[in-house]
Amino acid sequence: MKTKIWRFLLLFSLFSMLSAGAFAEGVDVALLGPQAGDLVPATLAARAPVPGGATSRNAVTFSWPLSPRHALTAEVPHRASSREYRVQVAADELARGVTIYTLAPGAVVRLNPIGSEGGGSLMTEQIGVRPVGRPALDGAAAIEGLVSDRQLRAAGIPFAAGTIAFRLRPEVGAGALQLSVRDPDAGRYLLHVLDAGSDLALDLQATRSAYLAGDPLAAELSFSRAGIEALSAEGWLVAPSGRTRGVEVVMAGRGIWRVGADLDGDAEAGLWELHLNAAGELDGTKVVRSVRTAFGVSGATARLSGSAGGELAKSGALTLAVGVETAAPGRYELRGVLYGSGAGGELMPFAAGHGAAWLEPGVGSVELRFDAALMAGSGLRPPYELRHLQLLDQGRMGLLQKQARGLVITP
Amino acid sequence: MRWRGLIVLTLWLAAGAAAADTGVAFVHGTGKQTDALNDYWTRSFVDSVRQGLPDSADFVVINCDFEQYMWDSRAAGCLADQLHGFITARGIDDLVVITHSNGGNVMRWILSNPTWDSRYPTIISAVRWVNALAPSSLGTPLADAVISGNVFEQSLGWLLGYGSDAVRMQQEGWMAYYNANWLYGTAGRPGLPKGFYNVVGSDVETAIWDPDSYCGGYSLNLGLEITQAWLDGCSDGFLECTSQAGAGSLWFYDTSRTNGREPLSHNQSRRRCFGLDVILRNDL
Repeated sequence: MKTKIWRFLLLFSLFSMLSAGAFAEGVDVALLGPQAGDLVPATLAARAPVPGGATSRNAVTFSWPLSPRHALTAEVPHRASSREYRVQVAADELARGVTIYTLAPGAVVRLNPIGSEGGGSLMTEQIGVRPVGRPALDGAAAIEGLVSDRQLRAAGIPFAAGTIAFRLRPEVGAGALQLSVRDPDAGRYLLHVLDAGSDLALDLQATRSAYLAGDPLAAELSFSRAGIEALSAEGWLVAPSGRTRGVEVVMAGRGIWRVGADLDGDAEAGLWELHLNAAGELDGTKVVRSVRTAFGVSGATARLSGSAGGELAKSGALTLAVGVETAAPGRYELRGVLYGSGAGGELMPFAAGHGAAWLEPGVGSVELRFDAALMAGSGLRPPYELRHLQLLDQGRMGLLQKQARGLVITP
Repeated sequence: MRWRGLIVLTLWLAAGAAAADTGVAFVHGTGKQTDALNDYWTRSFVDSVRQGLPDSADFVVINCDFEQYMWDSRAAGCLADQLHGFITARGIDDLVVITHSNGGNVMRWILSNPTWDSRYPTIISAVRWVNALAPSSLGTPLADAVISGNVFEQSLGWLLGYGSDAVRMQQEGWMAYYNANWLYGTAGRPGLPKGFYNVVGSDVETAIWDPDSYCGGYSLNLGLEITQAWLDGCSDGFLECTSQAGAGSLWFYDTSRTNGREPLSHNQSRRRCFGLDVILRNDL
């Protein structure tokens, strides 16, 4: 390994001399260690097919100015929030009446036949709702605004064939309501209830947006309001191929659960989905919610080797070459935000830089270039720092390494 | 006299050399288009907008397969092909790109990933700015609903799943991942290399007695009326306003600039409704 790094540094020095001659001077470039929250591969996984398709083999660099006044922040993972739930029901259950749970009047209901088992679209006249403690209401007295899959598709929203959606009339009220359908076609249906008027949501947040295969997944599931009696929760993961597997869901407090799973070392790369259903009770009324979020999983095909070099041309242009250790051939991209020092020594962002190159297994490098106009236009001075550093595998759409603080560059 | 003529000619040539060749590109939303001019935008809309060009022939209507993920060669690759071909064939160095809906994501992919393809830097350099009409920058709960209505988890997996990767991609959780790791322009993230200006549609009107409800097609707006219930109070029937304004810079909310302060539903923001075409024309 060391031999490879020295060979890289020697090659980079040679490159610097040839490309810039006496008009450039080397700068000290140091890769900082990872901080809490950074994504850094501990080991590399060599088993990855060579990307096919249109993956380019040309080395490309690009940079552009950023406003120093535009604040950049650390990533906060997406917080999914749901006031809806989904269940599957059979046609005969619908005919008898299915209980739906709402906290507020005006819920939106969607029904669609599942796959080839279901029948055609339903009509307003077939729908009935029995409010709590009151006689059943039928058709237009119970629902409004029914639209068909044809109307939704015409509007550019491609719901499944046979889908209908409608809103419960406000006078139907809320609570446990009996929804029935007269003479539905045989088969199974997806029943989707959006408790649109309720402010009670089920929230789900993973600890990060991207994981490496082999990492433990962790997330928190919670109702958005205190005072709810949590009854149950269950969840599962969906891999990019559609394969599902369970997750561990453990109650961690009143209306709060911890969700965890170990992602195998050979976990499929791509976007995974985490799905959770939970039930609770609020002031004697049952609450049901379904929520899901997505996160990326990448195979660790490369990582930063720790070596880096750079040069500052007399014109002011800055070139950085950053060592990348690769276990599988591919097109790797390095990107980051260049910060410079203001008059008081404070660091401010002023340029984004990207560089990508095709690398074979071993230790190679990716270059970033910031031209003279970009450097001079910022009005900022050394020392520079490259932050929000990311190493990406373009051909496999993988995020391999992510560091809030990356390189420190000093003349 | 000869000298004065020569000076005038020299100045004219110099001015000509310095002037930009302005063009406009129309980038459609989700869907596989083969005649987006007629099927997606309508000819009257495109013809009206391009009247703002110095040479009204300097326009291109993109036709790509935006049922794919945004980075796919049939999506961003196809868009890059057509934009690159247009700017090189017609010598365009001042390109205004008008996108609608998911077309904004595909264009933002190119702006955010300049090293993905060696044509991208040329395209980015030629772009003056992007006018993003109702872009789905943060995704939409309706994409989640569409996918969940077609995918039956824990039973048949995704084998019965809905075929559009573009719809799958526009689920809110998915867009959050792409925005955090692959795309620029959202809050707290680095800015894009070129301006990305949003036009936000804020409501759907479907009153049967109101002629404004008919612009863009009454039946199309009817579907959007019920889907508004899935969304926040401010939406165009397909996207919440927060999603439309979720990346880049706000240009305007519909009612602040449209004729009669009319809102633009998701279908109307790609049509000749309430003076939108004139606003876009005057921006060229």
